[in-house]
Amino acid sequence: MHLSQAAKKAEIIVDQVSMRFGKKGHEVTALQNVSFKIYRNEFVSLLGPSGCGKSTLLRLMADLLEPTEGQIMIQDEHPREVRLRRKFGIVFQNPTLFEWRTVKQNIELPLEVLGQKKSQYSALTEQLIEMVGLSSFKHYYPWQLSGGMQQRVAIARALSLDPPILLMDEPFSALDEFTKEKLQLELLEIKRKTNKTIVFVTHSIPEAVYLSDRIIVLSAHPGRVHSIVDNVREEGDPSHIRESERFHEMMKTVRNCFYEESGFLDGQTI
Amino acid sequence: MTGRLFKKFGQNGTFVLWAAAILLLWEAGAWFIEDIAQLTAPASKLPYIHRVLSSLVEHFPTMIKQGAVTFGNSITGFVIGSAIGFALAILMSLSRTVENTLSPYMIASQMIPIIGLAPIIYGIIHDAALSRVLMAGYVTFFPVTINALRGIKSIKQEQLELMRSYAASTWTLYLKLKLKSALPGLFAGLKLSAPLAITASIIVELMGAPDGIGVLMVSSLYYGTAQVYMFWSTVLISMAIGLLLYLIITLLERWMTPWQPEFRSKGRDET
Repeated sequence: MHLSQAAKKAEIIVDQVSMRFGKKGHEVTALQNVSFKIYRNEFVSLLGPSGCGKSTLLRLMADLLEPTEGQIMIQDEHPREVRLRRKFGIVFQNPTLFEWRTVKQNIELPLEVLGQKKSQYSALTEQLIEMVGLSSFKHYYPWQLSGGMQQRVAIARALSLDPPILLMDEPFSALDEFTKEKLQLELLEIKRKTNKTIVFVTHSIPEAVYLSDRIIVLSAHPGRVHSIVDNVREEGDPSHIRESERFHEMMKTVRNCFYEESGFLDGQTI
Repeated sequence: MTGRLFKKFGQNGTFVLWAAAILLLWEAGAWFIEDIAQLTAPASKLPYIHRVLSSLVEHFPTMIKQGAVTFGNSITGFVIGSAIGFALAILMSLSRTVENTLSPYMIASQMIPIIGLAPIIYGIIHDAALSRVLMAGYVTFFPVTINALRGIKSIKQEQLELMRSYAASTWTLYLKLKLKSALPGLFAGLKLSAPLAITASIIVELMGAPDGIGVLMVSSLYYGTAQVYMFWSTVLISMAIGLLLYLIITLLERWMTPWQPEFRSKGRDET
């Protein structure tokens, strides 16, 4: 199944991107000369410690920020074009639901903004609600839901415009371990059904190894691409991946990137 | 269900007990001043509450008529002032330049004492009703603007980013997010300015208007001890008008912003 990367279509191209914040003279470099490609239908994690600029990178792809240098192309277009055509869905660490809207109304928000008629999308929303397992909660308000349920709503909302790309910024890092594992499994299921290109920001090595086709390992201060780990996830039943030999091998490989990294920083930290 | 009923009765019961205790203390105080200490003009200091109430009943038709005049003008000014205040908040949220330009004038406007402004306004336009409306509106708009603007500014960064990712127009952004977020602040502002609006109207009446509860207040003061119970009745009526306005706002708030934490039912099972 693994095609050579040259044969695959590049969905997102990050080319020599640098990002600096702050006033001249007091600048902080968040990203320095970052380059990589993400291919269509891939699940790619941006993995790194805090301060490596991974969330910044995601916001650059979403056209919520503009790079100081370099450029990003998504489907051969500037991120602004892509945003204006609503070609990506976004999920934040915080569910960011509108508290005056029910589960159903929150999921319908992007469709409303698009100006579609209710009759056009009500079947679609029902389908999405069912996909994230919230059928009996569709008339509940966000404050009546657990953190995991709220994040499910956020995922359904991101899928409601059926965008080809899903951008996720540490979506599970505020959840407890049990909910996290359940949602990770569900996300793989959604990925299998919808076959979206997913860019997933995380600081958790097991999460990245469990979910990703490829992991882009970033190092901090300033944020750079440290290495890219290919062929991470094996085919097969995702509920047993964590027990496999290969999973642990991959964990070791990715973790070694960071040991190596900390070694050349000052030899002490971890 | 029964549990909630008892709880509700418990809350109301506590309120009734407190009210009764305060009235009793009042009566005791009046009795002490008038019959024990035998001070001169005791009713001007603290009148028997039952006499105030009987005076209120006796003059009830006049009181209600004049009270209605005051209330009607106050609420008109209050509604207009709130609308202007809310519009200003939206305008100021749209542009920082507008905010920085308007802010100093708005703040300065609130430094003018209403007791000084009321006679000027009344002197210029010589129309009691219009003066009351203007003054009520004048004291209303500022708290509304400040609080509604704070609501709009408290919107989380990620909510804005989300709307941006949907390529929402400014109009949609306001319709779906900013106006909703401004509502809790708007109501906080309304609750602050409601009693001010009533007071502002009454001040106009004290300055020589021909009608309104404030006129009754000032004329009963003029007659000294003879009208002292009448005076206290007008104070009670003014209080009642303020409470009525406050109650209307609270009900509106509950209806329009049911998602606010204080209106949420306690558990999932109770809903």
